[in-house]
Amino acid sequence: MPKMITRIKEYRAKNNMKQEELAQLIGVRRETIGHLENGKYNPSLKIAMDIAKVFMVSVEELFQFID
Amino acid sequence: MKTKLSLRKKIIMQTIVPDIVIIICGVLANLQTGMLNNIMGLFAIVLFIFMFIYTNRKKSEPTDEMAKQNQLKAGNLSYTITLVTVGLVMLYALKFKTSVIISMPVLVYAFVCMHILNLAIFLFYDIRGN
Repeated sequence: MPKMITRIKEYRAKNNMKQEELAQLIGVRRETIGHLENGKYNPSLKIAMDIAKVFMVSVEELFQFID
Repeated sequence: MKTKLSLRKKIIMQTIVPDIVIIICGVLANLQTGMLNNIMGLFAIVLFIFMFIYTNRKKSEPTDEMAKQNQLKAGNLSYTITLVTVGLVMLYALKFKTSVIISMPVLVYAFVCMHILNLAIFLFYDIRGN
């Protein structure tokens, strides 16, 4: 099964943003962001696009699947 | 600054409080006789309504898609566990030709156990991640 890796944490650090702030911006809980960063939650396209929009990058830049 | 009630706390409050109230009322109703017995159910209903209004009025975190997904998974698993348990009880009853009379309070306790089980499974999924 392919494993999902995200660069959310990296971009969050670059933007000096807390998990709580990112969660508020996209309308989810802080726990969801935590699970996303650890690759424990596979987000919907909407959440993926919302996060990409916040960091002004493409979805592919944030989320990658490795075999 | 007003603090937001976390979703986990909200769900725990909405689940555990009514269950504890039901259990306490059940135990008290078994011990007492007379007038108190009649109002015990009413007392539980008033507390449920109070809890429902309190948790819905207080500002809380949004029920996001991860929480919804976890609730669905928890519901599926607790439903399966309940069905398996009922199936096993039926098998036992058919094999040993046993018949038992189940009283209403016991049925309510079984429901409360299912409710708590559902909460525990939800918390497990929510803390562990998918």
